[in-house]
Order: sequence, then C-alpha cells, then structure tokens
Amino acid sequence: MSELLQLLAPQFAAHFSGIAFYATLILLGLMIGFLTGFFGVGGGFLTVPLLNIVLGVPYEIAVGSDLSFIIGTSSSGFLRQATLGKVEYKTVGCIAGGSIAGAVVGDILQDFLIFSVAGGQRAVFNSIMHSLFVALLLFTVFIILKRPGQEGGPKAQNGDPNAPGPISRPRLTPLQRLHFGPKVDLNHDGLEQVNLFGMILIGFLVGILTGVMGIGGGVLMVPILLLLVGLPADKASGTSLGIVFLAASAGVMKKAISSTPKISLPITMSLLVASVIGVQIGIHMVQNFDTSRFRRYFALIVIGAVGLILFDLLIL
Amino acid sequence: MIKIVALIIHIAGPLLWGVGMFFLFEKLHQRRTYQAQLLRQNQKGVHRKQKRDE
Repeated sequence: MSELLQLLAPQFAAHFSGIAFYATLILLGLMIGFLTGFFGVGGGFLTVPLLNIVLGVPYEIAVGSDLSFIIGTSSSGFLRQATLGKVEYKTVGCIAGGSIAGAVVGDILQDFLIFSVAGGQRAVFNSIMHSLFVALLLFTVFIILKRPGQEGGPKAQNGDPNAPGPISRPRLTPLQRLHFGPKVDLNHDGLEQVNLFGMILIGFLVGILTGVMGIGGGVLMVPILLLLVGLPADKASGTSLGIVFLAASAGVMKKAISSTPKISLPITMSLLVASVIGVQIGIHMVQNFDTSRFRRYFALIVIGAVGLILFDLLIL
Repeated sequence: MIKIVALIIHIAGPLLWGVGMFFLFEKLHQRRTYQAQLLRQNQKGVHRKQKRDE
C-alpha cells in the first residue's frame, strides 16, 4: 500500500509544505483555469515552469503531473467540441499516430537529458529546461503577435461583395504541396491529397515536446492545424484537443511505468479542481473585455512568464 | 502489478473528472436554455393577454 502511495504521490523537497503548498497550487490552478476561460489556451506551457519555480516541484514530476492534468482538461473540451461536430477525426488519427510515438520518445529524451546531459545534477537539468521553456515561450509570443496574413480568393470590386473577382486556383496547403509518400483525403472541402507522412512527422515532433516539456499543444498544434494542414478555425481547436488528449495519455502511460515515479496525483487533482473554478471566472470576465486587444494581453502574460524564468535562471 | 494500478489511477482519475465536468456543465447549459425558453414563452403569453385586454 505504501508503495502504491509513493507511486501516486512521490515525495520531493518543495519550497513550501503542507497547507501552504496546496494553497499555492490551488492559486496556480485558478490562474491556469482563468487563462483557459479567458484566452482559450490550455496553459501547459505556463503550468510546468511555474510548478518548478514557484513550488519547487522537480521538472520531471511537474511535466508528468501536467500531462495528467491535460488528460482531464482536454477530455472535457474534446467531448464538448465533438458534440458540436467541430472535430476532424481523420486528422486526429493521422497526427495522433505520430504524437503518441513522440510523447514516448520525449520521455526517453527527458531521461537522457537528466542522466546523460546533466549528469544527474538537478541544477543543470533545471537550467536546460528553463532555456527550452524560454525558447518556446518566445516562439509563442512571435506566433501570437504575428499578424494573420491576407486570405486568398477573389476580392470584392467597387465595394460589391457579389462582384466576380479574378479567377484563381484553390490555394494548396504546405502539406498538400509535398509530393512524396501516401496521401489522405480529409473530411473538408479543399483538403484532399494531404501528405500523410507530413502529418505523422508533425505529430511526432510536437509529441516529443509533449514528452519532454509537458506542453499540450494548444499553443503549437492549433497554429500547425491552421497553417500547415489548412483546417478551418472552427475545427482546429476540437481537433487539437483530440490529438493532445491521446498524446498526453501516451505520455502519462510511459511516465507511470518508468523506474522512478514522475506523476503526482495530488498535484494533478488540485490543479483540476481549481482550474474548473478559474475557467468559469475567465468565461465570465471575458464578456466585459475588448476582444481586439486579446493577443496583446496574452503576449504580456507570456512575456511575464519568460521574465520569471529568466530571473530564476540568471539571478537565483 | 502496483505500477499498473498506479497507471490506471493516473489516467482514470483526471479522465473521470474531465468527463464528469463535461456532463455537469452540459446539464447546466441545457437547464439554462430551457429556463430561458420558458421565460420567453411566458413573456409572449403576457403580451398576448395584454393585447386581448386592450
């Protein structure tokens, strides 16, 4: 029994203990939930570094617990989107095939970083992970602030929306332009002959990040589905949730059977319970905000997180 | 064996929570929609009655 408890709630030296630890954890869960309700992002890219910096949770346990947390949040979101018919199941199947393998490889890579690259030294491994998160968050800020490109297709002439525009060929997405390997027809107009290897490779690469850093993919997978696969915006979110759910489940399975326990159920469940309340607060508050400035607000939050990580990396 | 039990708990715990929350909020949403529909029907009835009285 004590062995099972050790596997479900591994012990580690934290910055706080007892009630203070769980109170901070619940505050963190509220914040992550608020971000989900307000901006519609999973928040995995903030949860892991904050668990490590604020609470002192070792990175490997923070990643495992975050993946377990993602199972809870993404399953709920996926069911909601599925009932609304906003999931492209073929894309889920193709990309998840790669991301499941990637999540398993990512966990092996994390062990390699801990034991071979960092030589088992906690401080070195923390620095590596901090650097990876700074790079990822800066990339996220770049994606957020980059203005969306002009949509193709005929333009209205003389203000008449029904006026015929110049004849143009339908635009192919980057994955349709790849000419090698098998192709698959997705269940959406204009998304025929999409490269299967390309989708599996994308899933594999994002899956590696899931296994190493515990990021779900809302921040990476949604832009990939929009820009590379060419899915419409209303289906990108639900499809991403399906992929993320499967990748996170594979990551949790790999981490749960590894030699050292890497998932803390108390952390996962505290975050899940608090985030439900945070999501409701976020949804309520978003109705009173100017949505045109959303991206800037979100970028500011991410830059704040980068500042915190750099402060911990360079000064503490 | 213990690892398998831990694995099931690590996946089933959050999954049950997520699915449970989905059904809870769906139920709340349906209830709110139903109440709003009842309110609209009620208001329509009040307007009709006022017109008849006039």
